[in-house]
Amino acid sequence: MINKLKFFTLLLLSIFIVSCSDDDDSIDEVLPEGDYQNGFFVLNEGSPVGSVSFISADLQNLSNSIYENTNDAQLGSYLQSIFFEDDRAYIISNGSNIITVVNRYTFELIDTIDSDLNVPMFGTTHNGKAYVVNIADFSTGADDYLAVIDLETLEVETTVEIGNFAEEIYEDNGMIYVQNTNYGDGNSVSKFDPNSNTFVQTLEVGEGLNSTTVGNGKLYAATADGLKIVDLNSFSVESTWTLPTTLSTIQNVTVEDNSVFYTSGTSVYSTDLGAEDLSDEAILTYESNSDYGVFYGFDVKDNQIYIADAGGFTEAGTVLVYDVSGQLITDFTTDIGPNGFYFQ
Amino acid sequence: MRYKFYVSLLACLWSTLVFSQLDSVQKLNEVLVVDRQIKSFSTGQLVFDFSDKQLQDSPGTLTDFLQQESTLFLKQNGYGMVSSPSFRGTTAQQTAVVWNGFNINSQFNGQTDFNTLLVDGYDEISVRSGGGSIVYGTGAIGGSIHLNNQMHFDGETEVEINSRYGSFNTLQNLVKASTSNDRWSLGVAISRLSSDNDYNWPNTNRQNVNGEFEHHNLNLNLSTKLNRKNTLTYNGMYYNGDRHFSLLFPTDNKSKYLNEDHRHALTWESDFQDFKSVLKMAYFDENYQYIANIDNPNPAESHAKTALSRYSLHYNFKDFDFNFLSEYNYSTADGDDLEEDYRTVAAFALLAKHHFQKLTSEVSFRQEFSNVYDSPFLFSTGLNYDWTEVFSSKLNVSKNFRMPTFNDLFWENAGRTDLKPEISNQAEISGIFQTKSKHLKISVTGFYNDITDMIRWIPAENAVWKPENVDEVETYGLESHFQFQQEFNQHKFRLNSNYAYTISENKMTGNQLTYVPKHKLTSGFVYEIQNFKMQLQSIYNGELFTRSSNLPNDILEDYTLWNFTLTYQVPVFQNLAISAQVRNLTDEAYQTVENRPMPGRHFFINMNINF
Repeated sequence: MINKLKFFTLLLLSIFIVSCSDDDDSIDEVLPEGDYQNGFFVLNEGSPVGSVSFISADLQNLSNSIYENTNDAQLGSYLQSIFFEDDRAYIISNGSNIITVVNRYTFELIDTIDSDLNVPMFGTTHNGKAYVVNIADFSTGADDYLAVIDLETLEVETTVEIGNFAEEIYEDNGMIYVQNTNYGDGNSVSKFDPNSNTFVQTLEVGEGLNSTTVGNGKLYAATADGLKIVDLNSFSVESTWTLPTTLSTIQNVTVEDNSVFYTSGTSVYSTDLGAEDLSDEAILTYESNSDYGVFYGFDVKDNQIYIADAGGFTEAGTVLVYDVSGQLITDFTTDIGPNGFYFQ
Repeated sequence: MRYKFYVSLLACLWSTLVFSQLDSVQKLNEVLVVDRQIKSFSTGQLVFDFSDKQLQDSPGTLTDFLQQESTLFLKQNGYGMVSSPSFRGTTAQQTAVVWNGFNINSQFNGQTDFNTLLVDGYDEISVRSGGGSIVYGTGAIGGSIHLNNQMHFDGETEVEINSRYGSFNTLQNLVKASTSNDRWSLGVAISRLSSDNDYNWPNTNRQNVNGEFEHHNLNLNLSTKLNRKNTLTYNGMYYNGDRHFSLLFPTDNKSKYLNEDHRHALTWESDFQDFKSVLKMAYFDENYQYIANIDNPNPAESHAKTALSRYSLHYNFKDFDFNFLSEYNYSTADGDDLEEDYRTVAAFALLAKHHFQKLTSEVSFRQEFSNVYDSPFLFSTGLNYDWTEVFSSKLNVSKNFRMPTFNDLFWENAGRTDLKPEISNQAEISGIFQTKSKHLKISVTGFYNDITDMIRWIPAENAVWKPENVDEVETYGLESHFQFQQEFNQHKFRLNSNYAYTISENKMTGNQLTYVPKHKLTSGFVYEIQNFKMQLQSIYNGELFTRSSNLPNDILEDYTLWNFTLTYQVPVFQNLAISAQVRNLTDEAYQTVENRPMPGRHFFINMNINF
């Protein structure tokens, strides 16, 4: 009964949306393939069961628990990250050893990957395959491994031992890169060749390595010394931008529009990629009551800064959207432990 | 192996029984209570006692028993899993569990998992609402649960064998025996409870996976009268639990928890003139192993040892009862996540009670000294007044505390030794109406409790959670109890009911604490005729918040559970009773923790032999 009602409401809504766009837009616009076409997802880690929220691109509408509402099921406990390939989204639950595959526009369930995973964390794709970091036992890096998943069959094809801590993973120019850290341990990045399924090289990046991002053939890494830039082609540290004495640490490094953005304490900073001196002039400072929940998710996209604050993890966290000049545009309350933004 | 051990123990027991039966010439109706203070120093507070006969009606764990018989709310991570109480809206660490006079809350986290204690080894359980730090020390804020053994010197020998089997392959066995003569008294109880616990999750196509558990419990109590004035008593308990933790999702890693605790206490009581002197020496040992993934075991283990001595001097002078208490407690703990360290606590308390006609008044004080925290000066004062033969009232005001636990103090890279204890200032007032025939008893209590410096683990830098004295909480509410019994001809009726209204507010946000229902109502109705006994029980738990924000969708819905039991006393063999029980009669789908479904309708059959 309720489902039918929901269905009709959705149907009505979709007719409304479709007809609106027909009336108003004279420009050619692709008809929406689903409710979640225009906007971005917020992944909520959960305590312990997580969820996904969707916020429309115009920042006018928030929908929480979109997977539950679409599929009448749950995604698992401690949702860690999402990766995408074509029109599919792969949602990783590290507590439940499960990757849920959905249509990224409708969020309808396609399938799940639930064997040969052990605390999966992050994933990336290359050439019809997904590469997913699994950390297995939390207390050691020795058993961490990469699961290679065939995206056709959604089966784990093979697993490759990393033999080191592992966290974020990237694909760049046909190579896979793994950030070898875990909750404060580890300081290197390793390079994996997907053709031979072997780790070919490991690079010490620097003490206190806490976050990385990849763009323009480079890997940008926040370390205790400041920002390290790794040239992925030569796989070596190309330059070090020293940590300003006024900042105790930099975290959450992200590159957007020829600037590198990072956080320290409860503030956001940015430095032009041509500058080479890390700025210590905050773009914005926000109020957080949590040393751990602060910047639990952080991203910059199209001149807007996205901050997720998880607070004390006993209630839904907050999403704040600022413009790059540091003006607050709007805020949302999503769900427990928002930890990442994923843009359509 | 284990069974062989039981068999040989039983054999020992039997020979003792036979021997002692021959020896019992004199009949003395004397009971030795090991925890004297709960009986004599509870002025202004209500104490509810449950006999071992009542304990037999419950399926075994302290959780099952208390959620039916008291106003405590217990949240369980699925049936039989970690169970934590909220007493008068306080936290699990603010409920003290007291074994024969000793606080046995875990040294690690300061609380008791109510699914790791079996009730059936005890002779009496008492539930006292409100503060009790004067005698029982840390954590007696919301209230205290007392597990007591009694020693009889009446020459009687009793043996009870109880066996229960039911849904989810649940099997519970108990052998309990006691014997005595005028100088010696011995009590032994051995129990075992196991279950596959693989119930279907109501309204889903899923089953409870990895929820199996197995508990073993042994109680041994031995007392001897050295002479007319001196008695020596040993109380011992051993508990061994092997519990898997049920999965939220079928693909979760399977974890399990093993714990083994044993506790020993030696009491020397001597009487001289108006004095009674009680010296106790005790040793407690608690050990647990947590295995996060049973397919690739890498257990995290912790071990705590506590040695304590307590000297208590009672003195009666005219209408006054005095009790001076001093205690020295040395605890040490180490483990995979704990920095090895120790804690010493010395405590002194003075309790005084005065009877004057219809008025009983009590004043008591306690001061502790510790190497790791500064303890506050505690007091308690209470009044009982009998207005008429049928109506009395009680008033109690007290200051209680909870000290930081070993985890709070010494957890690797997180514990801090600069924590303050939690402080509770509370007051309560009760009115009790009881008919002369004692067939009807009604009590109503109003309470107020102000708790400051509450310790909460909050997320700090680098993914580390650290304890801090952050929260201030105010709880207040009402508790009421109703009891009625009537007999005519062969019909016996008994009706009892508990209701609690609880507000527990975080003072900063004004929000109700999570997992504290505002309303809880339990009822029991018993009807006996000839050899039949019918019992109908119900529990209503009101809706509660699962998140501190108290948003409209942050709730677990209210529910009502019904249990029905039919017991038949076999006529040819009067010592044998057979019963059948349906639990959750209406097949209610409910959760006490979000995403943790509890079992639907299920069944037990029970056989009980007493001789």
